[in-house]
Amino acid sequence: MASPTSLSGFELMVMLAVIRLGDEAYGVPISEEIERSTGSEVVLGSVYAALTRLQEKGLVTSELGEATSERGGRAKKYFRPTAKGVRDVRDARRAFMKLWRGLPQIEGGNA
Amino acid sequence: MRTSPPRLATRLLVRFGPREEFLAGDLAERYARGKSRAWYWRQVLGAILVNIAEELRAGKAALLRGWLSWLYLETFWNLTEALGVWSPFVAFLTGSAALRWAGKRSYYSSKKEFYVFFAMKFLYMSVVYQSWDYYRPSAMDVAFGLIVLAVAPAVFFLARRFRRDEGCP
Repeated sequence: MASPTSLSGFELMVMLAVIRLGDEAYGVPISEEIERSTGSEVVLGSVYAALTRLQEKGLVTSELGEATSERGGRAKKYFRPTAKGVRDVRDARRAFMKLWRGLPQIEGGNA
Repeated sequence: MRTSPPRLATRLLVRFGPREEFLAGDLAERYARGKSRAWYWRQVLGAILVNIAEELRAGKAALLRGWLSWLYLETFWNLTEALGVWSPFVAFLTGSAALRWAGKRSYYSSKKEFYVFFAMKFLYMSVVYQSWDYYRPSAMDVAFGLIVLAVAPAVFFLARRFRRDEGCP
């Protein structure tokens, strides 16, 4: 197994949102998806910073989309996970599952 | 549909935020769908702070080179002053060479600091010594200046080649 790229907690959330959204993954739905999951406000700038880092690591690719009047004539930037990106998320999940297994404090819901 | 987002915030975002237009487009889209002005301002200020942090992360090596050249400049200045061979001319030539060595990014960013540094030094000397009459060039100073003059073209030539190799204009 190739060693997975290290992903921070926030980068992992962004990766999961990108995978979940499929063809509709651009800044707005990605940030909304994370806000729905975490229940707290997300700074869009930090989402883009994470996406730039993920792109540098070769975990996502991007392409330009359409510009709308609602966006002040500015284009969208769509993101897609690469095969390496999906593999790294799967590896991260496996590692987390191993660490979570057998922890009564977490499984029982009592702090 | 709502009116356009706060103009001042958008201007700040364009000036100090990331270069790409996508973020501004996304913010405008969410604002048009009902987000508040306070939300827009929070997002803009957050994006500017994140952008500064990312720039620092990306330019760590350049910052280190800039800091090292700065350290050299300050040390050189103090040393020559202590030895009595100090002169603004010599310090300027060697300082320029050091800043050029630091490479394109840090060179341009350090150049401003360099001028501020000189301006502050001159101001300090004007206040402390009241005049520049205290300075008398020694024979050693002149000799050192001549050596620097002889070496400087070679240093500049190498620095230019180094910058060209790095793909700088």
